[in-house]
Amino acid sequence: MAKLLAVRGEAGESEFSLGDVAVLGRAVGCDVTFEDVSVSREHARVVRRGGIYYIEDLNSANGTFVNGRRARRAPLRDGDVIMLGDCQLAFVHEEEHVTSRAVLVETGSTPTLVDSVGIDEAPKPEEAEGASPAARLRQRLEVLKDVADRCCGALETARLVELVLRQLLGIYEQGDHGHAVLVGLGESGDDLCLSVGRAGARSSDVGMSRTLFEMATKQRRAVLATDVAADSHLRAAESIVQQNIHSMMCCPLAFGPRVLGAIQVDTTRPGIPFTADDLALLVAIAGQVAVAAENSRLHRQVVAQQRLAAVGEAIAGLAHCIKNVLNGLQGGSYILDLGIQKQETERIAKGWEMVKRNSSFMADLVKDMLAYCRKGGLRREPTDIPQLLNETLLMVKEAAARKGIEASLEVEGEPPPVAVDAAGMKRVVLNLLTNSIDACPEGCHVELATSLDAERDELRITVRDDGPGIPEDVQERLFEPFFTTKGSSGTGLGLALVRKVVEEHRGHVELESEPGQGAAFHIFLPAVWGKDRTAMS
Amino acid sequence: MAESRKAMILVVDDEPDAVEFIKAVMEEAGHEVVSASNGAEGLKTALAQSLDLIILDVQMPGEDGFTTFARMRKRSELEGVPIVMLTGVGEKLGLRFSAEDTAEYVGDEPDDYIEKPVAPAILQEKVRKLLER
Repeated sequence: MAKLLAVRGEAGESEFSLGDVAVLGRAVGCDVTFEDVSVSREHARVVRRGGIYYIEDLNSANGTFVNGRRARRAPLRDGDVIMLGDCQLAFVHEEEHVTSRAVLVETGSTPTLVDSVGIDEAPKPEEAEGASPAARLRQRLEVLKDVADRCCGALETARLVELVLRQLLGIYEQGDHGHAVLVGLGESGDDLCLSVGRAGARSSDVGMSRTLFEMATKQRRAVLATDVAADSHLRAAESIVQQNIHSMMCCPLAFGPRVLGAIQVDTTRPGIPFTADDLALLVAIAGQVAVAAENSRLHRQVVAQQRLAAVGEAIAGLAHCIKNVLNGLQGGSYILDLGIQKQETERIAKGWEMVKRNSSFMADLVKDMLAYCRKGGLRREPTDIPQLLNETLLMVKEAAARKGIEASLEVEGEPPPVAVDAAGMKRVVLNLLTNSIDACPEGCHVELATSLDAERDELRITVRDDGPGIPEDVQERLFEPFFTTKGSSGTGLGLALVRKVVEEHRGHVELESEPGQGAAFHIFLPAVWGKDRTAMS
Repeated sequence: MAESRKAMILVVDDEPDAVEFIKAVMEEAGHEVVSASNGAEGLKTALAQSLDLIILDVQMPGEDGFTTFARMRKRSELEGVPIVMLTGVGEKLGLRFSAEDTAEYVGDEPDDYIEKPVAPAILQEKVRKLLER
């Protein structure tokens, strides 16, 4: 069965089974739909002809890429990585292989292998048997190049290793099983163990030999057993005997001084053992896989560190915010106390006002924090955007008028209802309007505008003012949580929340500002119409 | 609280609540208070008045307190006027803010520093000591 998998991003688990024809794009009628604006309305299609799947680009704006190369029409092979705009998919074609979880199998004492070579000693290629050694060599070079391509792609380690194991069974005609173990590189830091078996092989539930694994990883040796039965130690290993293995190869996955795990291929067929040539190829492929796995490990490490740093920043920002509120409460209560002691109504009123203002600021802070941390999907409903904008504008119009600022709404054309989370989007617009009004002196104009780009299926909402503008150094930090230019009257969460909600709608925010020339915040949202649809990413 | 002479004090802070609070505390000690909400305004007010002491917030939008402090120190008109730095920064960075830190930034030391939130009695006592020098 053939299918497309969303490789990365929030919809990482999404998959789509392929029939004879499937159109991929952003339009409602497509078989596989995307919300990402980098994908064209009808971007590409996958067709099956004579048992082979092809991808064809449908004159998309951003092109269709297969394994990093732009393609107008290209055959798809199992494991190919497809890019449509910013969306990445993997093509999976499972017909010949059976995948299972691997287990490490004890083989008892360390075997003395019939032929074993160190990883640094390049094995001498043998004269290839069969009619066309050149053709065989070409096939192997192609596989090596293909593995290199995939290692450069952004595949998850588990998926990459699984694909490589399948390819190994493709080139080693006698190979029945491929196993890989990568220490500590599983989903939650456990070991990543994968096995792929050829359909029809005697057992698909076999595992990598622990003794071979340790020999490969501890001694950093690539090992080849041409005849398991002729080796006294391997012959004695119950598991290998039970599995009826005749010949096997095992190679460490090493990157610099680090050994990440090992990869093994074995056969249950007598008389066609693996050769030194086969092992040389396995060593080359293992090297590529190790680089990709190490790269992925480092990436994960960086992400984890960034997360920790972000938590630290958030706590510092929050502490500062709370302290400001406490300052206000302390000041207010002091003045209130003085007023009561001296029976001065004016002081009592002033102190009480400070206490009230700071408590309500605390409530705002908590609300903003909860909104920012809110998990779970958006509640999208077809929404009349001009009406939403008008309602939001009414909420701030009075405050604007008090400051001598004019606030208006400009609607271009008649945008049809768009599916948004109305409460979230109202909050976004409200935050932007409030910021503008706070930043502008008397006599300024704040304009809220919306328009629809039918070509790109994109809704635009703009909040523009002719106030003092935003200095460049501030622009860089504007969307950081707890960054504020409003001193104690800002939580620093308003714009962070704007960006979060807009990105949850798969849109983006752009800021346009020159100091002294006002500022404009543009929100771009993919115009997803009201209907139900199955979106992949 | 010990009695001290009446003085003219400038408070520079962008937070109106903080200004109100310090003003109330200082007035309670018998001083007169003028205020400014940013560094530039603070310097202007300082030059226009005959001041006895300046309380200056470190964290302000635009020009920060360090810059204002350095600018004030350069003015001969303000020579001998004690400057107290008011800060919440120390806590934000998880460090205690000290006179030495300030000196490192601007090449001079403030006469004292006060970390927010400050107890009224401590603020009054610090100001009294500085005015007595």
